[in-house]
Amino acid sequence: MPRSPVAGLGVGAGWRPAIADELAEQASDGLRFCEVVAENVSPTRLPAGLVELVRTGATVVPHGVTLGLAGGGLPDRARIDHLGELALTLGAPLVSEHVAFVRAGQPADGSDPLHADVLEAGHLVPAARTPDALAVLVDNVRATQARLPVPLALENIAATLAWPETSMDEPEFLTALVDATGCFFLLDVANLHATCSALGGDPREQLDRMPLDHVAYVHVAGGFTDPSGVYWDTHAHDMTDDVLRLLTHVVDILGPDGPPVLLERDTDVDAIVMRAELDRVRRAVDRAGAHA
Amino acid sequence: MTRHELEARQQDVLRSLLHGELPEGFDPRSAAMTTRMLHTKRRSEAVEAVPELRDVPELVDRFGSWASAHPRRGCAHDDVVEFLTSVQGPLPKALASVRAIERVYRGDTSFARDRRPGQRPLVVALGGRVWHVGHRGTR
Repeated sequence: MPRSPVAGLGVGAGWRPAIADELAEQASDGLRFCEVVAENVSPTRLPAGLVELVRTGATVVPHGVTLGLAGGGLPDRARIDHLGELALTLGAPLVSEHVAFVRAGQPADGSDPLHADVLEAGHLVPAARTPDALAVLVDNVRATQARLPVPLALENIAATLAWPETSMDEPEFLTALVDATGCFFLLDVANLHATCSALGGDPREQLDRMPLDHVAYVHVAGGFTDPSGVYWDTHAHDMTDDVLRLLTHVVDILGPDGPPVLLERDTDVDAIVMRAELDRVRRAVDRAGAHA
Repeated sequence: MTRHELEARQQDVLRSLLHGELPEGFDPRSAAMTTRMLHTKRRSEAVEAVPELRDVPELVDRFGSWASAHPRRGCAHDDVVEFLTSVQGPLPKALASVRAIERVYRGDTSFARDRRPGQRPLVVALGGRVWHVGHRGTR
């Protein structure tokens, strides 16, 4: 079982400019784990707040959102290199991305991007889970791993789309992916809850069959449940009790000094919200010991 | 299925979803949720780029209808300009000025008022160029 390269780092938070000061303060008070959206920063012009976090000893993991590894196309080398350069600049022991596609279509022949026929989804879209799609994904992940200077962790997304040709469920698919590539698994408990809420399935039953021995770290985030019962993973609301209970269950399984837990909050956030939500994450993690 | 066939399949399905149409063989509820999610994400990025969009009456429906007919071609700022230029009906004063000025730049009209504080109040297309004229006001 590969040990997570960030094991034991406790509870962390996604770095965003709006909460940079608050995270810096928390870092001086013991926060040791952060993540930054790779597409929002350049390795040659890192925001001062991020540099300060690294200087205080926090681990900052670059988190990509545009590689589209589950797409039919080959992953873009420039995007992979950007992730890798950020990892080296930040001193990160790994980078992370998603099991999703974000664009589809044929690039132009030659170098003329104006004649490319590429549709941008603007968001993470799940691919069909078939043996053929898995083979392409495995190829793409291996190509990415070969260019990266650090290990890669891949995240389960919040899915609302069910492809008619899908023949494997998500735990089977992710386990096969991890077995074939040796990549780490970034387990997002809010995404798991969201996918089961939209498409059916029991999150705890699915967890039992996920590649939990390869978890690098855990994501948790806020969202809301609409009147029809579907949970929307917005990163703009406070966490729901359902998601926090699932987090406690996950930490019960993974152990208290295992993979760290990272809170993602993108919008409608300030220092007060961040402090309160991080406290809720810590309490949910601490409850795991009480359940054991 | 080859890599090329997978890409073509993903492109067909994504095109339908972005247009708010049901891809053949898909569960209608699942496809509708995904279209909603894609449009919400795109609208959120547009609002983040230009927060005044929050004040557009019936933004969710109007942006969704526009997004269905206009595949994304650029960044969130491009989306905002394209949306404002295409959309009919009332807009907050500042955004109505952005729409009117963009129409002058596109050659659709030759004159617009800029009602935003601190801007020159008249925008005129003349001699193949667009001129912003008048004294910068504070209104």
